[in-house]
Amino acid sequence: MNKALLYLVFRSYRGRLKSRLSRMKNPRYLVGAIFGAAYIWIFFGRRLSSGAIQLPEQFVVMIAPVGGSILLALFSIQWLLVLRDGGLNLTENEMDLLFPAPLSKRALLHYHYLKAQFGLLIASMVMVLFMRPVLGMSGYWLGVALVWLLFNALLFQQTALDFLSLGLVRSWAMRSVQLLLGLIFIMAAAANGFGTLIYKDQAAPLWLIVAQWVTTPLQWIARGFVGGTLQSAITAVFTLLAIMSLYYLITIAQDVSFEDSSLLKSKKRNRRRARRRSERRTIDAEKPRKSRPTWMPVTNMVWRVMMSKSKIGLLRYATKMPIIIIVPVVCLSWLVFMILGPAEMKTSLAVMALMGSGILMLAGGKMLLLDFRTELDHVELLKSFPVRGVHMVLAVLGINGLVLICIHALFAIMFAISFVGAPTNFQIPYSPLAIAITLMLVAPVISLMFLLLENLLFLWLPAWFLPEKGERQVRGFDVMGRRVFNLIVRLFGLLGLSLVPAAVAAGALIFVSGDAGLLLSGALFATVLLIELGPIVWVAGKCYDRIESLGDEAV
Amino acid sequence: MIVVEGLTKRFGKVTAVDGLSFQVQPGEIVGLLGPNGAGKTTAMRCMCGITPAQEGRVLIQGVDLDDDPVRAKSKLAFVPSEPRLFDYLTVQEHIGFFARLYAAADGQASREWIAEREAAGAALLAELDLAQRLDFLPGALSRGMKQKLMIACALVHEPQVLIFDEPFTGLDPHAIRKVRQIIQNHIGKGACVMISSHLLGMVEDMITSALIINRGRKVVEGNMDELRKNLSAEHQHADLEEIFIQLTSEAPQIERVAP
Repeated sequence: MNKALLYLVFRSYRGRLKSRLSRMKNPRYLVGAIFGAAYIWIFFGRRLSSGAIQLPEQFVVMIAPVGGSILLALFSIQWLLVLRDGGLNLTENEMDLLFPAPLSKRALLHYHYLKAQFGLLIASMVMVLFMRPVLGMSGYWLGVALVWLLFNALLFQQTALDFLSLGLVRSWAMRSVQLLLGLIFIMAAAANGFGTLIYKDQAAPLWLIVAQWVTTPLQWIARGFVGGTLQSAITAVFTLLAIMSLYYLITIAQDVSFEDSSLLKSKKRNRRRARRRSERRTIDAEKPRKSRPTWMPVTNMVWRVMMSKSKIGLLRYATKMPIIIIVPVVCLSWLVFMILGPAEMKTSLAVMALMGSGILMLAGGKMLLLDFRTELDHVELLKSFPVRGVHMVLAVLGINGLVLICIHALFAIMFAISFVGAPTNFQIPYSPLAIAITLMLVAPVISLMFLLLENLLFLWLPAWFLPEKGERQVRGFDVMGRRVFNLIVRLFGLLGLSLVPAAVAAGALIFVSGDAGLLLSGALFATVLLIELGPIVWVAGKCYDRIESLGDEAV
Repeated sequence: MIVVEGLTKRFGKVTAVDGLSFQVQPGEIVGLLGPNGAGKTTAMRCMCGITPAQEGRVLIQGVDLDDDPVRAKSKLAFVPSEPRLFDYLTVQEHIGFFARLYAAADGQASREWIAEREAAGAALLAELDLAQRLDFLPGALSRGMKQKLMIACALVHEPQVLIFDEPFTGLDPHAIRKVRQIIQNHIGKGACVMISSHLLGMVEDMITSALIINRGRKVVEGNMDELRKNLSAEHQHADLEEIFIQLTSEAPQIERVAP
């Protein structure tokens, strides 16, 4: 391996780590990292220290062929991709600096392998943490080594196929052969998986024997994952190393020019990223400046931003978001069942409507994606609008609020209709209509509260919610910290902010009985909670005002 | 010395560079000029091996780029128009990386050689006013600073062939003067330089000859006097900008090469 490339890889890792650590000088990020580390330790720490997990031998004998089939299918998928670009996974920066440098093609190939290792290692560590409870593994680190080698075998295979597509497999005839082989492998995987389960206690037919023969090396690997013994793990390691060596030899045997295809690959990747970013952008740079309604009670700019967002948001719902399709389809199906279905079914349908409303309450904001999570991407544009932070928060979140209210209302109405005339086992002292109206009042405000709290976090720690340059998403401790913060903020927000409204609502229920009491308590709960959201909007607005540029935060 | 013979690069049906041939001798600075989309950047990228040409050959100090790319590339330096750097290497580490890169290629991978090159790189950085930013990552540098770092990295190994694609874009007047001085110093040591730029007034003082291309084909080549011979009598005192406009605004299929 070229020493200069080793220097580049390790110094880059070090630079990345230092860059992340230097952010910890800011106490907010330090607290987040501590929370992130605590999250990992609490959820996964115990699994790290636990010893080998031994699965019953009968289970291993049964599961290993199926595991082999799954692995064969995993490897075969890459064989089906015959229209690949080929080349190496390098960024444009790397190509500009490394292609004119005195480096052999093999050195560049090694760099391509080496630079992927850290990411693969982290992915292996995380994956084994999740897999350990279900798989028998001889210790955590042996499991990590196995998964890491498996990922590497896939990487080596992908590179070999990429190089083959530039050399040997350029013609359509050869591509057809590759496709055919891929299909045969997939069929062998399926035949082995199902055949083993079907002919468990019988003599295997010829096709199953062939399929078993094809999947044998992959069964050795699968045994390493589920066997729980050192011997099975070592066999799996050597099998994976053999696969990697084979693909490496295939790769270096292809004397092909990969510069153009690498450039093409990188350009396509960048175009995809740019398209994704522009799709996520919801505020049009020009539209908010053009329309000029003067009659609005709020700042004109706020109205313009809201108009722009609602238009782009609606377009997105129509084209991208499944919610516009799913919700009407669910409602229509529900209506058909309500009219034609048996009466006993209506109770279940009502409960489903209630559950749907609850899910929307928790995940509604996330599903809509029309908040600062996307807007922070172009904060410089937002900041160029003459709008105060509080107004911007209202403008950006207002549309979400309206959509949430509409969806909740729909589900509440469904809930009410479901109970009308339906036989029920529930002893509820209120009419379905009263419950539905109360839901309509309370649910959207709680959704709004979650949405506001989450956005307060985005605005407080903006750099956490934006991927770094060249990355598709935010990674590392930042993500863990973000999740913990989200959980804590949601939990304490719900508990803290609901206390006063709940007390007021309970008082109303004590003094006024029946449907009227329920309606009054719902209205009071929603009103008090809505009043409490005012200061959150104000704080979020202040956080927005504080952001100068994401560059300052992220670097 | 650069020798380019019949260089042709096609992207699908589009021919970006069409049979380009020229030479750059030691001690020469040749300006590669042409309108946008003429094929300057593609030609330069072919000359330094970023993208392979379909036809023709490129010799760097007598070494064929196709036959022995590592040896050919070890003698050249390329500064692209867009300063793209490694995101997580500091300014100083960029110099360290390039010193190691060329040390390995030259078979001179001794620590002393690397230390010497790093010291030379540090001196270049100081000359280009980057000495105070040695520990900065590229993300914290302005475009001009990145461009200066690119130039410093390219010159760390004392290349004999320098290829600059729009090197002055984003540089302030002080930096432009310094870069010009650095290029002249390399010319004094026997290097040859090919430079592409749209700042014609600036390159006119620097270059010894110019090569004007349009739609991938050579329009004209030569020093200022030779270039003027391709113009009518009324333009015999034209500067480089006027020559460029006269020669590239006419029908592109006309190919006039100075003797």
